[in-house]
Amino acid sequence: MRVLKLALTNFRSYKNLELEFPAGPTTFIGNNGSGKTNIAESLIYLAYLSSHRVSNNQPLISLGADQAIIRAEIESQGRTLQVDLEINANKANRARLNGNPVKSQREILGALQIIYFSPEDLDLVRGEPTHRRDFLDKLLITQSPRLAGVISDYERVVKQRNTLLKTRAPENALVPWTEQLITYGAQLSAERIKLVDDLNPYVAANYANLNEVKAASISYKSSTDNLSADVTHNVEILTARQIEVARQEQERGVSLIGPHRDDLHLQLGDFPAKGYASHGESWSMAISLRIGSYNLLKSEGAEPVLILDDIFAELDTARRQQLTSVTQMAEQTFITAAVESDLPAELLSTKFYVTPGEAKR
Amino acid sequence: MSTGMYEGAIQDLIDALGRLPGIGPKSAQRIAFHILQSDSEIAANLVEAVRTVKERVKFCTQCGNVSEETECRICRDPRRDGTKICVVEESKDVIAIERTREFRGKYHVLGGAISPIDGIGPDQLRIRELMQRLSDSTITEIILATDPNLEGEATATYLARLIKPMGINVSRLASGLPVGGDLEYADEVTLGRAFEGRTNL
Repeated sequence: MRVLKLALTNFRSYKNLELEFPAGPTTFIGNNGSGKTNIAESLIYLAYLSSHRVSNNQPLISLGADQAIIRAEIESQGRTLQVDLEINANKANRARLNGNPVKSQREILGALQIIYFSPEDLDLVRGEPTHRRDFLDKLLITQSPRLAGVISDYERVVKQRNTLLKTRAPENALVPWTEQLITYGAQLSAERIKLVDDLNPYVAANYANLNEVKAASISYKSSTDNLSADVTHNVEILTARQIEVARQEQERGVSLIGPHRDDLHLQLGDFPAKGYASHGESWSMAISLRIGSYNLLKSEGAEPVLILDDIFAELDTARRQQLTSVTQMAEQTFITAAVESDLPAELLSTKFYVTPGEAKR
Repeated sequence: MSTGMYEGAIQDLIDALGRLPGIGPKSAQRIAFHILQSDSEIAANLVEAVRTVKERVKFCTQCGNVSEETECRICRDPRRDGTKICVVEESKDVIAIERTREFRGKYHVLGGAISPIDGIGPDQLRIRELMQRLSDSTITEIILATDPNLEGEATATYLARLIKPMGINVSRLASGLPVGGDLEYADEVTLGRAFEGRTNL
């Protein structure tokens, strides 16, 4: 898969930007604040329909404009697909595939599959569980776009149910939401558990490749014991567990079980990575999670585009080499950096120099 | 938001139109100028229609549908089957089902769906009125036709648990494939639901 053309209109610092890319690595070089990451962000938005930097759309739209537009021509398995996305601040986004409007923007999910690396990846190891849940969910959406619907339905059910719990609503008012929490929660747990099982060997192998001494492994840490990759089984377990926590939920006013309370556990040797890993080990772990994701998608026949956003400045030689070797497997890689000398020569075949509002070869 | 560029009355009209659902600032401006340039008779008719709708239209005391009388046309019709009640969220859902001519029973309009984040619980909907109607023993069947989304499902589940113990037959509208469409174009959720709700031949 690769992006042939990208056009941005009123997206962040770009009034009008049109770029064409060859296969292989494409590098954007520019000072801090020149807008390199904005280009990476537009591709990330197209892949997940959300930004990795902000949670609402307003900052994505240039000041004074009504909407931002991202247009991309993507080639996948010999076919070219034109994807257009109009980003709005106060109403739903609109999308087109090959010029035809689609009913929901979610229909463009899967058109662009990516794996991205960014300085914020350190949060995967050191940050709150929400970063790791988001990591798993985005990977699930890349594997199977249908799950975007399950994930957003689940999140909405939790929000509805928590609002109700805070008002100390009677049990019969809670039941309809509890049922849906279990239905969607059982599905999402099953998908995440299967994903972590599949991902674990790739993460372990990548971590070992970085010359780290300790053995790395990952596992799914659920708020409910004994969940599995079987949805029907999860429905039974969550239903039973729900009865146990009912009183506690009423007292505390929040939904206490379900995938929104789960975590991805990262283990290094005898200790959990969080709280024990050194700075270097944390980076090795973060990179292993990302490269492992790439390996997993690739093993399933996908050909995701790699995005390495401002990451080389953070890494030492060994980790840079590991990352560079991954780009050689990828059909296309986008790299951003402030300093050209941070990058290995292999990544400098196609260079764009970025200044505010412009990117020129 | 864009700042108002016109003066006085025309901007007031644009602002008022812009507050209507489905009308953005550009459409509001277009409609405002259309009104300004058209015959004063057309504008007068619009004013009159808006005024009378607020004066004359009430809600049916039985089912909650819009009506010009105390009871709506459907509730007054003796030919309608009073043993079946179809529960919907909004008046416009009544019109949609009426167009099918499939259903000859009566309706009950809830006025929305349960949605705690919007502050809408069972007490904000016409559920108490529905229960009152059900105490009439001639009603034998309830069809729950709330929207097929999270809030509609929650409302249907809530009502089903309330009504079933009364010994009344409760059903939910099927969700599945659109008729006249192609299987390959159905999204996965719809197709999955259609599988679950498949029927024997």
